[in-house]
Amino acid sequence: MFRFVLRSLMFYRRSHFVVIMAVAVATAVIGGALIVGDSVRASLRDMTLGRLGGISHVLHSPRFVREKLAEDLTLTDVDSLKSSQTAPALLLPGSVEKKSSDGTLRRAASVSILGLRPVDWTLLDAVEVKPPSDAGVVLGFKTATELNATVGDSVSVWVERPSSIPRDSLLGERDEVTLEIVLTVEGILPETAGASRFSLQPTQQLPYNAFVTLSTFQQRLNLQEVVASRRNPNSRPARVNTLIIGSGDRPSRDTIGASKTLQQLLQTDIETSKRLQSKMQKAITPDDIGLRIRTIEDRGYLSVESDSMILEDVTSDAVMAAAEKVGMKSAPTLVYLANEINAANRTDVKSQYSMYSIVAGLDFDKPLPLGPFRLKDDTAVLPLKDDEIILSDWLAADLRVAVGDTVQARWHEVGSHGDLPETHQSFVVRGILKADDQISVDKDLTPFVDGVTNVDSFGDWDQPFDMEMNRITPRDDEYWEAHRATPKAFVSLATAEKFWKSRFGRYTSIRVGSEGVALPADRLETLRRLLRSEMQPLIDPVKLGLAFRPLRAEGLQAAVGANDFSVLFLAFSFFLILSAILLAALMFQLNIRQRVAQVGLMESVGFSPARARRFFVAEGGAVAFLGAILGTVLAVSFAKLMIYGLTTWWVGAIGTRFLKLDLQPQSLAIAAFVSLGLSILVIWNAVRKSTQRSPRELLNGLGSDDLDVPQRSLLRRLMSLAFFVSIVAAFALPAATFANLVPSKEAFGGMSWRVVAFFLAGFAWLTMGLLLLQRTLQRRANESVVGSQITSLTGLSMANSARNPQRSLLTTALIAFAAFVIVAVGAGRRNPVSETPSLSTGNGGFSLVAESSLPVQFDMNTADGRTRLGLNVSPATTLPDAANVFGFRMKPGQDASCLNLFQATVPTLLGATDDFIERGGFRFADTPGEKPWAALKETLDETTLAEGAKSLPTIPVIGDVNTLQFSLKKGLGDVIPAPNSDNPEYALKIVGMLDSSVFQGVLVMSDSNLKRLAPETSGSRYFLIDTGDANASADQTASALETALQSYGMDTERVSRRLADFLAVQNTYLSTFQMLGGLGLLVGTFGLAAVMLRNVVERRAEIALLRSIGFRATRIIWLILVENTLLLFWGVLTGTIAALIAMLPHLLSTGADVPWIELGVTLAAVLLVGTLAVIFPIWTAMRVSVREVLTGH
Amino acid sequence: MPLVLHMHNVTRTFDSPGGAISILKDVSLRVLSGSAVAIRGPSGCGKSTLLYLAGTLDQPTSGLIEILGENPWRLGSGRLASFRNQHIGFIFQDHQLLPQCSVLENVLLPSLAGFGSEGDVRARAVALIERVGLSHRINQRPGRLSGGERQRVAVCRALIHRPSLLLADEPTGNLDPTTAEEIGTLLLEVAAENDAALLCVTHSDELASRFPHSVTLSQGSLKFNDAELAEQQ
Repeated sequence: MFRFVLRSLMFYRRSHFVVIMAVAVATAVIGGALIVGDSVRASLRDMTLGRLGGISHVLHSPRFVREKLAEDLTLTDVDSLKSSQTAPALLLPGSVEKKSSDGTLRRAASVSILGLRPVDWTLLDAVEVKPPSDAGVVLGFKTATELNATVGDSVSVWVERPSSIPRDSLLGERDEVTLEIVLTVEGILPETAGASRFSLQPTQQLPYNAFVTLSTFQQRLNLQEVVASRRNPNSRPARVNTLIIGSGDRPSRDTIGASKTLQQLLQTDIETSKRLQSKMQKAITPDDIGLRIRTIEDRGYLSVESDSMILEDVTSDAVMAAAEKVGMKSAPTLVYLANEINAANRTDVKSQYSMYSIVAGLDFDKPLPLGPFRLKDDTAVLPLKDDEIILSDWLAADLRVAVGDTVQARWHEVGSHGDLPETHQSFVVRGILKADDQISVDKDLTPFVDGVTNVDSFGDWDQPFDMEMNRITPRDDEYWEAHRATPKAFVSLATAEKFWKSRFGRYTSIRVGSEGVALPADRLETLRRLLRSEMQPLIDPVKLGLAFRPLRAEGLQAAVGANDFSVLFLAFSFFLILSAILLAALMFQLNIRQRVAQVGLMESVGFSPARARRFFVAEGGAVAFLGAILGTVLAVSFAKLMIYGLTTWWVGAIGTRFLKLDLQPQSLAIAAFVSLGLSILVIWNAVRKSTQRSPRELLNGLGSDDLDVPQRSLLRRLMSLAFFVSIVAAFALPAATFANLVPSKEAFGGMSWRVVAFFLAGFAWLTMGLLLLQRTLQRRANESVVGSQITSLTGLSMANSARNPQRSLLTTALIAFAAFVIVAVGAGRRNPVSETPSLSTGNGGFSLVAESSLPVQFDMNTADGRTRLGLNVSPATTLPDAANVFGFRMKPGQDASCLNLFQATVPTLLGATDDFIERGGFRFADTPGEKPWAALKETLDETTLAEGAKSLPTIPVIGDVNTLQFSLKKGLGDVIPAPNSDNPEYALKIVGMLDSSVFQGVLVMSDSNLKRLAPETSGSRYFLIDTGDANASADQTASALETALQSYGMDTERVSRRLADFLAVQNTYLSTFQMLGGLGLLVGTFGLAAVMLRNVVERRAEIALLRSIGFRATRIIWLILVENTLLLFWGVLTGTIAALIAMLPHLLSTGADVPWIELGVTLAAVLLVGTLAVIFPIWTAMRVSVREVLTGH
Repeated sequence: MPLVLHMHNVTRTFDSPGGAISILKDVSLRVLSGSAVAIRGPSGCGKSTLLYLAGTLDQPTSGLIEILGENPWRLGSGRLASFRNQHIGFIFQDHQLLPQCSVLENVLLPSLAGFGSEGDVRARAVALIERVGLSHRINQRPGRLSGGERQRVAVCRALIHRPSLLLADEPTGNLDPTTAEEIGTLLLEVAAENDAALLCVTHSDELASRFPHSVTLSQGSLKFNDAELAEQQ
């Protein structure tokens, strides 16, 4: 067999050459696509390794921990970490500005600013750039480019002032939240330096970043070490918010190229992460979580308090459990500041009141030294209802109230935009405490608050709200002088929680004491140490946001990519691969059809039919094998071309030029194997179809019409019915849509019924066109049978096409379908820049989208909010009246938009306010309900992610369909664990999908849910702004916001521009598809030419006859040319018209951005190449000797 | 002499748009080993059909065909192919040589079917080629041979497995009279040498006259032109 195959290969080498080339093209395209995928993944891994330099793990927390914790974590007892480096760091978001000499201000917003010790600079891949000095900054490439900065320039770094007290709590600082640090640019990282990519989130696009020294950052942010003083008795260690672990080994692209090595690295990093977390559990101290254990010596108990003024619930639980464990009693307390307490409804005396009193909620019946509280008549306090209060003797005297009287208290609530609306509440006085009661007259019931509890008078308060100083009475001053922040009134703990509990916690302090005994100082100290050690194992650092992330492993895992470029390019190249394989099949079939007599001969000499065919399949296999081998070589070139395309023409799809070729032998092997398999399959089919006859028929050879079997009547009737239906649909559907008979509401997938109707109409046109051709050819064929006259050369061409109606139809259908897809895809391009804001579109009716580097606390829609933000203070900062700003709370996460090639798991989360939810807007896809946004406020059942796992609170979220389906691989009703899949605390359930909206890359939930999920977030960092219709209004709004909110790093952008950026990816993909699809169409035209060649070869005798009877060569050429171009034009025209009708709604919309020229060039190239491709068959036909053909030689 | 081919009441009909057409009607024929029978008749009378039926390349619509006492159509596809390989040799009008293979390879083609022992098949092929006077062409391809030479190669190929039944379909149809005579002589000689039953379809009176027996096929029926053959039936 081998020799036979070899002989045949050599003998038929010319006809096999085309098959080899076709298989090579298919292999090259498949291999190229796989290599592109490998290259993207390898490049993303490269970027990850460069981005992180020597960093393997990181702990980045919203809270500030001791700098020394890094030292405590030195893991000499863990073998794998012996060579590791632990670096304390400050990593904060901010903005960087540079003022040019001409006065213009350039700003880079959303900059990651990393404060590192110089000794830790080696962790970064900073190439030759040296670490900054205390007065300097090193800028990342993108930051420097944005600022147009050079070494020696002076820049301002804006960051948020750290606040131990949450900004969304009463005493949280809201006004002076930003800090400017002026530094000199001492270095600029080159684009190729890995540190230019430094970011905790994986993205292939260069982030904005800047690097300063840790000490500078700490000094300016007031995070440096504080030694205890008389004025401030609380010493404080230097603090950081980030701990970086540097791995001893720095894997390179080469070392992790092998998947085994990569897997080992991932496993090691994940294991190390667990060890680090375990070590953290042991190393963490109360200081690290801002916890203080104050010894209250004069009363013999301990008070556990927090820097943030409120104890987080997990901490409170740990403290109380630890107290119980050491046999102590605990008494939680929640204090709040009442702006005023007055004697309500009193008409007998002049209004009496007391300003700025502390009200405490606690349990009154605790044993000594924590209770019990005694009333004036020396009785115990009975349980209080929600509207009942106990007053101190001092306050009762002030207000001149007695038991049974009513008092009214007013206090600040904390609004959602930094506002402090007042709440009024009446209480019935249920008792008055003894004046000299040692238990209740206790200033330590109020936790220490620097600037408040340690100042001498109200005038010295460092409070974040306006005080009504003119209403403070001498008695108030007198009380402050004598008792400071000692509570004047008491409610039950439950009542206090009802009024003043917040998302940050429910207690302000927990007192711990020995039951019935006020412990002496030495025993209190012992108890303090005991409590500390007992608390330690009970505090889960992860729950407090102190979790180590295996950053390198995460990055490498995310480098698999949101989209598999192999699959993407295989899809783009679908027509190319299909055309190449079909071309191979057609050409091989052509060869076989000429040689069927050989099959007959073999059967006649004793080969079984299967065995005889096997020889030819083996021959085809050998041809395909050669093609596959050649294809693997071409695949590398094709991949290089695609990568060149991705880094130049199609750079919009990947947003980076740092894409390097990565050759994986297995990808080439897969490509060769797949295309070889496909080729052998189609070759086997071609052999089978051509030789499935009796040996006698085979020995006689196949006539050109032999493969066409007459259609059965049922099929003929079905075809007629399909033709009729397609005619009706082709005209009726568009007519019905224009007559508004088709509803405009969503059908599915974000498409309206009108769009669906037109798409169906397009398909109907396609079907109609092809069936019309089929009927024409069939009729022509039938007429030939009954002897109709052929009156012209064109008629003869038509008759020739009709000789094989099925073959002609199939070829034309392939071309028509390819043209349809290419034109439809090309016509689907959009340019949102030309779209006007509209409530029910992707822009939601908003003109501007803005993001700030730092959270903005105030409402920009109120006069007060605008004033506090510096808006409307000058013409340059004045917002137009029509401007309506919707702020969103933000928990930064990964960019899950199509702009990020890395696989995102938990994207940035946005909190939508009730106003926004009520407003609604945007276009939804596959989302039921009239008011989809309202689903964000629904309460959902708890979710169990896996069998046996704990139930998680479920939070409804809405996301963009592109983000959900293509990046997160999720759909409606699916659940995303948050904050991550390793330690899920919440389940985010998708309740709505937006269609092509500005919310790409993020998930939206209700503001209240985001506060629950991420209590540390405050203010708004994401804004959508409705500016009315006028462009000028949008410009003015953008300018005012960027000017007034300069220190917040406010960056505005047209919504249409952002949508265009998102769509740039989609449009680039469309271009890629269009180009590769066009190539496929071209190869398809070669297929058509192959059919022509076959026809010509089969009809050599006829052509020879025409020549023998006096036909001129030109007439014969015309004959064949018309035959070919007739089918080609028919296919291209049918596909194009059908596609344009299908896309008509889009073409008529304002956002359509059809690349007519590109489409025209593609189709013209197809027609030209298709026409020219006939030259070869014609040339072949003309070379045939008339004598040889007619004499049968 | 043993009976090689036995056709009994063989009918072959073909479907056509105008209805079934009977090419052969109840044809019976017995051919003994070593005998040579020429089949004559006008074009389209079914001569080739008769030959293909005898060679198991076509199946009768009704009737019985036995070769060497075996009904080949009772064999499975594989065994039928083996049977054909071992017992039947074909010679076609247009020789049907593989253009990609040499003379020797063409002659060896049946051996590739792999049913027989390959021990001396190559030596036999060389001997056969020598016997037909083509030793000097043994490694050449058919494209370089004359029509007569090609047909001689086809004869060699048909004889490579020493078939009991040799079937020739217009073996001299495309040849000049001189070459046709040579091929006719060769056919008769090699058939006799191999003790094979030879069935030859021909239009040539000259060739037919050199056969000991002849039959004429007309309107689907056989007419025996000599008494000896008629007696054998």
